[in-house]
Amino acid sequence: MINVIKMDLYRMVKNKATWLIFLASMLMMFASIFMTSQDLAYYNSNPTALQDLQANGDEVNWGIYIGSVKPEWCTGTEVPLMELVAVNVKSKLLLMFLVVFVTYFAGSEGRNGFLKNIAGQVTHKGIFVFSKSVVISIFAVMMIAGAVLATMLGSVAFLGYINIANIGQGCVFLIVQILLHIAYGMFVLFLFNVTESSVATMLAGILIAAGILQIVDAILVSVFSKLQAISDFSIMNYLTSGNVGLLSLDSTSGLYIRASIIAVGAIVLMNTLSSVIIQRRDLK
Amino acid sequence: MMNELLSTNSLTKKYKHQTAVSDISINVCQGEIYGLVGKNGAGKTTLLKMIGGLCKPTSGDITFMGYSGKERRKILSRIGLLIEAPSLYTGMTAYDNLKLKCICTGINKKGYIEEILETVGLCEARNKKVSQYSLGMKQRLGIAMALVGEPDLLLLDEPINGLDPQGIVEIRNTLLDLNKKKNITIIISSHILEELSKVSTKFGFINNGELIKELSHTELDIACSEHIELEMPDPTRALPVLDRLGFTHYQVVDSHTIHIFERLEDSGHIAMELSKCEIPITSISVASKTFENYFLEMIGGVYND
Repeated sequence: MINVIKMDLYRMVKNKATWLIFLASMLMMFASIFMTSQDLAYYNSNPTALQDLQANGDEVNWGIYIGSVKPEWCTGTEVPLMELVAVNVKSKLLLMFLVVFVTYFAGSEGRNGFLKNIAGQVTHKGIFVFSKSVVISIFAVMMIAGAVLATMLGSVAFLGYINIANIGQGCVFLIVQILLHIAYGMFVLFLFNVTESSVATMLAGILIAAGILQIVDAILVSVFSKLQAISDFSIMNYLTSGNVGLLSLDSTSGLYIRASIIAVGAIVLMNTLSSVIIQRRDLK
Repeated sequence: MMNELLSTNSLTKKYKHQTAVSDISINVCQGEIYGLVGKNGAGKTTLLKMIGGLCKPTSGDITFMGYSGKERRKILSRIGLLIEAPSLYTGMTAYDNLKLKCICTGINKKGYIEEILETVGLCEARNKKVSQYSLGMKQRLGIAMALVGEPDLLLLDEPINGLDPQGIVEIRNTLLDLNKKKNITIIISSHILEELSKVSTKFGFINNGELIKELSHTELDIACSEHIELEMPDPTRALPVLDRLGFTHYQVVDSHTIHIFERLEDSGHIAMELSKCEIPITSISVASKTFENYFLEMIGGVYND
């Protein structure tokens, strides 16, 4: 098993696409900080726009977005670095690039049938899935660590300062977000193992990350009328991608625990399901 | 006496409504080059995939190096395979592709990859991306991938498909070298029969998923060599006559035919002697068969090259 993990890590490191996807995600983080700095200047010079932002600022955005601003940042005080990082991780930009990476990494192996060369080296084909989960985990950690670095650089470049505060809570937030990202990456890997199509996997992965499953809310509410009584009901509350957008630095510990349970549960479930599929399926 | 390396027992593979391989039992000994002959879609690839552990048989079992059933999974690493097209990362170099398999196999011997590249004649192109390789080079790299880990058995599915004559010769020489110098047993499938006959020591003929005949190279040579074909209602009556005339190298092929493999110029004499003994004959002629004709006759259909 260790050898298979080493092999996948070698491929990950040697592959230009890995670094291109990583670089692109960092550039997007950088661009997001730039847009935030532009928006801050805009809100500071437009009190009406700021009032609108304050009125709608608490709404959860389930989609993928760039350059977010929180109303409390427009009071003239310095924006805390960890809040800036948190907003950009919540925006699901990194999740989108993770979808691209997982689809590419699993898809390139699926397309050329490389597993045929090494199928005899393992006693259970589920090892190939576990190995991918290690690669996904490492890439997720790399992306989130890189995002912190890119945000620091962006903060210096576009805001002119780094306001380091709330590090402890920030670290907890990042750890839970890493778990959620890994879980979503495993879900994308599961999608690929089911569909065996890179295009279908990437499309579904990005659409689900962008909150397409909100459509299920409307269906569920129309079928089960009792759900109307729950004001904040959304299926997104129970999905890994939903929790990426939901979790904030100031979320309750209950929300952190729920998000962690969902993430770990999804990792285990997706790993198991993918392993079962790949073990049963003949190699093409 | 050669050691038996692999045997399949009533191996069958069904896909929903189609039977790809039906009840195939073959035996392959250590050091043999076993040629699987069959038309496209005859079931050669499916048979190789089952032997290589890429797909599960619907019924029947495989014994490899004495292991069968689930125990066989433990030694599947002793099989190197090239099934259908070479499975390579085209964006990576030949070296990196081999490195991936070496890491997976746990090999980190210095110079090992270079040694394998040398074996297949790709040492100079080691740092070239596979996407820049010709078809023949990709096939050779595919064989190199199969050779990592010094396998006891090499499964090669149509390795000369689409190659130019020079490429075919190179692959042939590589395989013969591997067999002779490293004593690697090879099962090779192809529908280019003449080429297969140049490397194989034993042949298995497959048609519609069934093994229709197994022959050694000598037996095939005899079956295809120039001979006197004697057709008659009762061949057993002719045998004492042939013995009396001093013929020793002949074979009763079926209930109406005898093949005589010596003194081809004596066909007239044979006819006269049989006539003297009042043994009726239907025809007598000198005939020979190409490997392809022999196969065609056997399957009774159109050969799909």
